[in-house]
Amino acid sequence: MHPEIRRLILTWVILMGLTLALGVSGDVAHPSRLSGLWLAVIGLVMVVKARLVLARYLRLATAPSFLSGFTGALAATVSVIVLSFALLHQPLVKPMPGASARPVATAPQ
Amino acid sequence: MTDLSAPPPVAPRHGDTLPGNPMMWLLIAAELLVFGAALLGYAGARALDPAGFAAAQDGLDRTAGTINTGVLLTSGLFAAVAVEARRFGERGRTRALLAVAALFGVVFLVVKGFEYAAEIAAGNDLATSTFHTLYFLITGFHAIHVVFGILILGIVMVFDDLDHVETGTAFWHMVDLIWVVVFPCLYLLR
Repeated sequence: MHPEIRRLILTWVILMGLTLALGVSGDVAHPSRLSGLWLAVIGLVMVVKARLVLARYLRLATAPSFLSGFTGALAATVSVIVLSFALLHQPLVKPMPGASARPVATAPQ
Repeated sequence: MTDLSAPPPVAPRHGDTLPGNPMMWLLIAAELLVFGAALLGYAGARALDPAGFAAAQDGLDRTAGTINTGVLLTSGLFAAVAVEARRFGERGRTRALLAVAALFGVVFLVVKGFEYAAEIAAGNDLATSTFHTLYFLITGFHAIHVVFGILILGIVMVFDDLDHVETGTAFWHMVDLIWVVVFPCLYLLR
């Protein structure tokens, strides 16, 4: 087997393993809220999987600066999202009392 | 014995050169920005109603989402091996591998269709809640990309020079890449 194809199959095996790991760490069978540690694990696995797809499937391993740029942008986005889930458990903006009783605008007669 | 009639393999590129057509990479960067903005918007909307989002998320079929991730990653493997086959001049094998990659794309859409049907049967649609609006918009937009990806794989099966195959499969891997990030954000983080 050609070494590049062997590398691709190995990448696929790792990606599938990480997908299963995500299923476990994401506790797919239960509706419970996840702890900060599990959220961090999910975020890390997401970035590792994305980097593997970029490096091997999209062949950016041969273009290291593009690989770093794409990975960095993805990691920054994932970090913001994971942090927001880890830190915000209450509504960021509390609804004003009586806000739901606001009269609905009607068309002028 | 070496087959003298076979063309010599094309050497892989090295040295910070993007594979395939540079315009496809512009499209990939633009698509990643769009989905990145959508997911940041999703996180922002969730910050306004964490409990509502968590309750709505629990209605999703996380197992189906996990299976679909495996389906797309397997499809990506066949697409990536197709590029290698084309580099070695194996046109028939390239087409067969691209066809298998496209078939896995169809499987993804079928699983997604069952998920949508279950959501709608449960009374959830675009207007049910902010979570459902974003869920249907983001995953629906991704599914449209899967459909376009399948069409592009079909096109490069016909116009199968190496540059076209690299460009077409790059789009397909972008669809993979987006799902790798969208799935945990919508289904798992809570």
